[in-house]
Amino acid sequence: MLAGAASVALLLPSLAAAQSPSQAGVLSHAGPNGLKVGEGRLHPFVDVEPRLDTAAGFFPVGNMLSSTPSPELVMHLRPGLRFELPSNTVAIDFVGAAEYLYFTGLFAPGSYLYSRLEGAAGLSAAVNRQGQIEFDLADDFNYSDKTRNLALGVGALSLYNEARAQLSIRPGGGALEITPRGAFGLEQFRALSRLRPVGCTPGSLTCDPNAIPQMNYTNLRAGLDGRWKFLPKTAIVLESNFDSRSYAATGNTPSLLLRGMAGLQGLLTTKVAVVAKAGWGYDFAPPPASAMGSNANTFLAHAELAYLFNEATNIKVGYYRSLEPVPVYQTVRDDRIYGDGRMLLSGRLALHAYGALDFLGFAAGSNRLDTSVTVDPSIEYQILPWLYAAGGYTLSMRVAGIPNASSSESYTRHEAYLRVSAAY
Amino acid sequence: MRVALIGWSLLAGVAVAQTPLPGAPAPAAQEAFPGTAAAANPLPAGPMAAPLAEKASDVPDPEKLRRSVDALGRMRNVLKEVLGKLEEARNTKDVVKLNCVNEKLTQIKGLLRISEQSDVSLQEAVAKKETSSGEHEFTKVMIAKQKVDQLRAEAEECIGQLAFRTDENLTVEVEVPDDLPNLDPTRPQTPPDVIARPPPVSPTL
Repeated sequence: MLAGAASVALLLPSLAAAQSPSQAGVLSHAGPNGLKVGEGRLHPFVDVEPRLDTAAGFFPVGNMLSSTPSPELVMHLRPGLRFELPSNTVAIDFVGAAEYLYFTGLFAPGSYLYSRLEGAAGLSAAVNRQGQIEFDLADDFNYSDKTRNLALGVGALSLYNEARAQLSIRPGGGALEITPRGAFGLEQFRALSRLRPVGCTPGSLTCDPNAIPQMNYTNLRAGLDGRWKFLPKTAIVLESNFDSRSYAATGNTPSLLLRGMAGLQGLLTTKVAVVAKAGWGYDFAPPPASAMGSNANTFLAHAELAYLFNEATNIKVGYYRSLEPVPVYQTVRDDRIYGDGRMLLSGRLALHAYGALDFLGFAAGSNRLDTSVTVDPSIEYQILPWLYAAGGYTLSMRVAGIPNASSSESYTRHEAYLRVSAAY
Repeated sequence: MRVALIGWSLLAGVAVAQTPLPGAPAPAAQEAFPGTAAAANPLPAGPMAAPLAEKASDVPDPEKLRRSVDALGRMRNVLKEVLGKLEEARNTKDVVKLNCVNEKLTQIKGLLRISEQSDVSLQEAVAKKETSSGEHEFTKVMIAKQKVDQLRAEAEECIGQLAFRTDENLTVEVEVPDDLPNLDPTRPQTPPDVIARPPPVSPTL
């Protein structure tokens, strides 16, 4: 039992890191005991993480800004809380952490000015879990220099929040599930500097720090999903999403993006799992007047093949084509090839590796095609039931497919880190 | 005594059904219009169907004995047929069909037991020249025989009920392989969003 719990705790950090780097290390901290609060348990935790970043920022050389980013050692201190109330009537799960980034100035004197406070929090509540009608509420908050805004071309702070609600309707025995849902999100950007990177045109929405607040947006999302399990671990699914993206500032074109996919998800054999879905995406909003082409209208797909050695050890490879609203360019199409592997040894040592190659096609007649490469291997070991040690390396490379891109729009970032986590 | 009570309650339904309503045409009149009679009476018209229309007093005693023996033979055949259907349902583990056929079979067994007792009583009555008692026992056998024919038809219909008939007592057992993983692969993780994190520019020159 303890080994099982430890396995899950060990797997979560790498899972969280792969899913959302902005919340890496936040979603992992369910300690062994916790403090009893009502019917739930509160787990305080703290992370200490020295991280070497080869693209910490562009610093001056003499009186000029360098066109190549400088490395720096950044210390991360991340205290937080996790609250768990498992119940079929009302289940609550909250995790929140503040994060202080201390730029040591070892490689780039003056980088200490970047030292700052960031934070992330996630809350989810489920009413009548596993019942015929389940109601879920969730909220995600993130304040950091990581963003899903792929048009952003210079380092900035992003304040992101999304609130979601959904109903899961399971008539009969639960083989059929229908899920209507809705969400409201917003993201605001704040410059870390007033200086433009080398090669950035003044006033450019993507790279001029003085202009990036014009990318602030609100996003209203509605969706309807259907899932029919025709075998115990295999289902036919139908997913639909409608995004209404709007911007306060002019210079951005709103999106009215409808996406739908249908296909198969689940086990083919007891060891082989697949995802095979295809669909279409269409932007109903008119393209900007200056655009030469038409608005987004393209097929979508997700194909994934996974081999399950056991519940904690598996490998998978896949192809994913998606369409998302984005500032400046209205929509961005992502063609991704990816691989993921994870392994748990002796119930204490977790290995994880993720790699992805993305081709990002921006719309609004720009013909911009970026390339993004991500490599993220990591290792984590549970020293004591409340103490973890982890280490890893991350490669993030972005090649902007525009002529005369600024120095910050194409970059290669190598990061190596060690992390010690204590959770009660 | 208990058997007799059950027997009369079983036979009552058929007897009432045989009683013409006030103002309704007599059975003889119905027979004059075969099409109408067939439509009104869903029972199969077997070789022994006609004698019920006759009054028991019109049938000579030797004929009563012969018809009673024939009816018993037919009822035993029906019992054998329905037993075959019961076995078939048991072999296919079809619970719905099994329950349905078993219900008919129980009624047929009861009717056959009553008829066998009535046949013995009929023979005694004929031997003792007790006309009224003989007619009474003969009528019981004939009604039982007709009821058994009806139950046989209903047992046949049990076959067709499989395809569409379910109720809240019907449970479906799904055999799941033992080595299936506990996780739910029908809800795979959506691939993570691409995260942009371009390097910032120094706050000062």
